Amino acid sequence: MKEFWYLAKKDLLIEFRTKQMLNSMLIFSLLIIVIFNYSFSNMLYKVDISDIAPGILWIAFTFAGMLGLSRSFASEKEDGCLDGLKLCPVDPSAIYLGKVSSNLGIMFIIEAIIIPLFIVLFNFRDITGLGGLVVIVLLGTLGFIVVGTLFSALTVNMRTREILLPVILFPIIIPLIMAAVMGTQKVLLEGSIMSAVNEVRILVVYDVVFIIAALLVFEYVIED
Amino acid sequence: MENNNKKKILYILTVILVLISIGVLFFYAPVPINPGERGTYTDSNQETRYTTTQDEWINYVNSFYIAYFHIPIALSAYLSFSLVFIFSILYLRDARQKWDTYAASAAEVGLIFAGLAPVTGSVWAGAAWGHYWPPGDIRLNTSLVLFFIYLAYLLIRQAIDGPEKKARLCAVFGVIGFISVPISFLSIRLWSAAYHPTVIGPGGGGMSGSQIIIPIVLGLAAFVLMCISLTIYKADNFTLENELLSLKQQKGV
Repeated sequence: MKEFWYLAKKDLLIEFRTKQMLNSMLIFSLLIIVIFNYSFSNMLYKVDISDIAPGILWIAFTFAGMLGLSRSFASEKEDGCLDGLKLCPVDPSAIYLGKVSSNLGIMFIIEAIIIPLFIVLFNFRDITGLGGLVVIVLLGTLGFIVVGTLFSALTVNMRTREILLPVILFPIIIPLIMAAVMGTQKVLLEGSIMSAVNEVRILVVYDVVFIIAALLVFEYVIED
Repeated sequence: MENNNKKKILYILTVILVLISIGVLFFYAPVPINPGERGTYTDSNQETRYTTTQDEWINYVNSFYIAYFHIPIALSAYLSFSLVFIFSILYLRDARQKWDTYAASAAEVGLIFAGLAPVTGSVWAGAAWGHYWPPGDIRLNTSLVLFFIYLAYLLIRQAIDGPEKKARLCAVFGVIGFISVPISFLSIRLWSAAYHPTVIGPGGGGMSGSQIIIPIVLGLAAFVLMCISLTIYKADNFTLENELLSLKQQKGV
């Protein structure tokens, strides 16, 4: 099972050399946060920021992630890279896990930059429960990438893949996003991961169930 | 030929059952739950209000009749979706075209029911709770998510050209989509204001009495049969379409 690590390393190496996806994802999520900051500017003094912060944060993450996911397998279409990958003497699940790991790496970099900027823009001074926030962001991003990578492979051969991917991905990740938003809110309000134990449970169940399901069906997605 | 006769019997039975269940609803069925001496509902400010005028009271009581449609419709939506799941797994196992045809027809029929369930639910909620879309209600939102998953399934069907590839990728989505429904139910529950009664369990949500058993069972039978016959009908339709297509290709039209 070491092969998947080589595939992930290959993707990350390409990404760090060109920085195409990193740059556009970062700027896009920053723009989303700035737009929210403007459009809610009247509200920011009236309401408790931790009531609206989790929603805005997760919208920024998922929208930016969508940009990366739609490119994830599409970039392999150039020069027949996907056929080359399929010819590799590795299990299909290694290709899938490799893609999941590289997408996760890119998402974590984006999130590590966005969260501090978010704290500044929304004047989130008395932030508590940063450790709990990290746990929920890790679990939520894992579930999002697990399903998103599978669907990215599913739509790669379609004519309308860029349009179709968000439309088929969002209904499936609704439970994940809801649990993540609720969990983020509870952690920010009460400062301890123990207050969000129900949400963490759902996130873990979601992650485990979909990793297993995706590994089972992935070979059907890329065969042709 | 014998198969055709069986189908005809099924269709006729469905029509008769639907007509009977509508008739029973108008002339026999009691109000399915005991609404209390005075009707209460929650208004948009989350305060409990009492129905005051006679008209309001009649509207309130009569709104409960929609349960006889709403519950079977919602259950049929779940039934169709489990059919899609089962046929998708069967297709992934042996890649026979007929499983894909069945899954596609079950999804199309399910889309109708999954769309009607939130519509009837929201009409009822408007009359009974004074709120068309109670914020955070579990079952309304779950059935809406179900509706969106069906829509996505049909969108994928539309977007792929080759019949074999279409069948394979749709089967994958059918499996993944079905798995997400129970988790979506669980997570929406975190937000729940408890509007829907828990029917199965202690208390029984007010559903009691032998008089309501007959109309509710009739309604369930009618809608489940309708769901199954529509699926078979649609599957036949798809099969004919495929035959026509291959004939056209043979003749070079």
